[in-house]
Amino acid sequence: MTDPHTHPDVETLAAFAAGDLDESGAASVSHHLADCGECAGDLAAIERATGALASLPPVTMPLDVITALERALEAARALEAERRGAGDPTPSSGTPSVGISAPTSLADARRRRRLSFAPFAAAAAVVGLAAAVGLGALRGGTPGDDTSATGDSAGSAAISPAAPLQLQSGTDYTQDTLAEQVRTTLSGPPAAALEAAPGVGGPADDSTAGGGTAASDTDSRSAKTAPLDPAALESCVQELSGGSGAVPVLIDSATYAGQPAVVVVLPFRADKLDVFVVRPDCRVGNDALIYFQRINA
Amino acid sequence: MTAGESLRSTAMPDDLSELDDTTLMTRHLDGDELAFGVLVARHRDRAWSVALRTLGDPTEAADAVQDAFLSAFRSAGSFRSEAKFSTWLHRIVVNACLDRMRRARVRPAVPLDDATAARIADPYDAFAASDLSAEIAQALAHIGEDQRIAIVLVDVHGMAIEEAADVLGVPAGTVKSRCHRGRAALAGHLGHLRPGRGTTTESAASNEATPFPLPNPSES
Repeated sequence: MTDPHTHPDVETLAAFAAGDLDESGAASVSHHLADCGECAGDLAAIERATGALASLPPVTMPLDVITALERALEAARALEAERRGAGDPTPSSGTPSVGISAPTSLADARRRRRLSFAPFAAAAAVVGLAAAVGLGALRGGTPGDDTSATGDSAGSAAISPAAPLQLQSGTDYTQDTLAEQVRTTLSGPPAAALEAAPGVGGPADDSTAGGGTAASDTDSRSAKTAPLDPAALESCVQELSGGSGAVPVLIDSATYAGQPAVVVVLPFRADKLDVFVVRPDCRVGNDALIYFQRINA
Repeated sequence: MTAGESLRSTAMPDDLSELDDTTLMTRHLDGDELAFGVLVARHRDRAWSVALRTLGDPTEAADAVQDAFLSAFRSAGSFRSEAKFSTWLHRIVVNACLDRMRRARVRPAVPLDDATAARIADPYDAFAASDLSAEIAQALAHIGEDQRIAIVLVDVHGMAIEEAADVLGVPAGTVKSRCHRGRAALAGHLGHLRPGRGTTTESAASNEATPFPLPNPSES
């Protein structure tokens, strides 16, 4: 019935679908479509394909890609700082240096490690070249595992307490207030006090676990606060630290925007903190990272 | 009051997340070490999505995004504040992708395996759309580069034609034309066009001057 020589080409059909043909072109295609079921089918197919593109699910950058990117940028920053002839770059915005006393040893150690690990950083994190430094406390006191922890931790120990402040503060962190909430949590009662007096850690009445003594029996108090799996948490922290063995200053099993989450805070250089918000089942390669922010200490 | 507020704005890093992109770039150029990180955190998912959909391979996409952000970090001085940061960044990401594709072209093409396609289509969680997503990710890989980039920006990410033209450095009409061809080619690769239609574009994909092959020989 239809004359094959008048079939509009598929690009024209696509232009018609997008409303990009001029008036006479559109009229001519319309006229043809009224008589040609095949072209009408092709037009519908093009519209379906276009709609399918728009309905692709959103993707988020995986954790390993984020950490590799952060590391590459840190190396670029270090290079830039060297080029400027400054050993320790000082931001012109005059950020205060508070909270962490020893100024540069950790920064230098991490920079050295990260630069040397850079080409295979992800692999290093998985293999665990700097395994379990200072994380013995997370295991709830399995003594045998701590033997390897001393070799690499001298630089870190000068700055962080040997065991991270691990608690369930009951805080509901949000993106806008994250930095302030982390500082508040960190400046709360010291770990020793938390151990001695459960319940003073925050607005919720969860008991809090300081040195790994009571981490496993606090989960019944609050349904929204996720219990921590020490093994998963340890590999997670390893991944977050890029295999550098840095010891977290805080691990808070809490909520983020109302959802169960773990807030892991790692020191960065002398006066900054890397705040990672991860899913409670944080595992390497599991898109576990919900949010990341670098803040001043 | 003013003194307190200005002290606050320089002293409190969380305020950075409230600053707009252009201000953050200025801070970055002034030596603020935290500013660029905020920009990265704000734009990395979009950059990742563009690279992943364009390149079709997570490893290549990771390299391209890293190249792009490093390039943006180093060449921040070339950013002009009257431009939109996201447009500028998209241009860098797209160029990094093109660079990757150029390098890949000298290597033999490796067809997307099912596992990879599934990962690209649905790396975040597994819900019902994943079959279709995998199919589309696979079909995208067969579409000419210029057309693929155009439909990734316009159709997948909803970018306006004018902005896409700005990103790609071509006239708006060229973006439209690439979108038309890309959508038609995609429909062809999804097997939804009648036989003989829409699948002949691949080799001529990046040639703007070549019109779409016309009448269907099987019907003449």
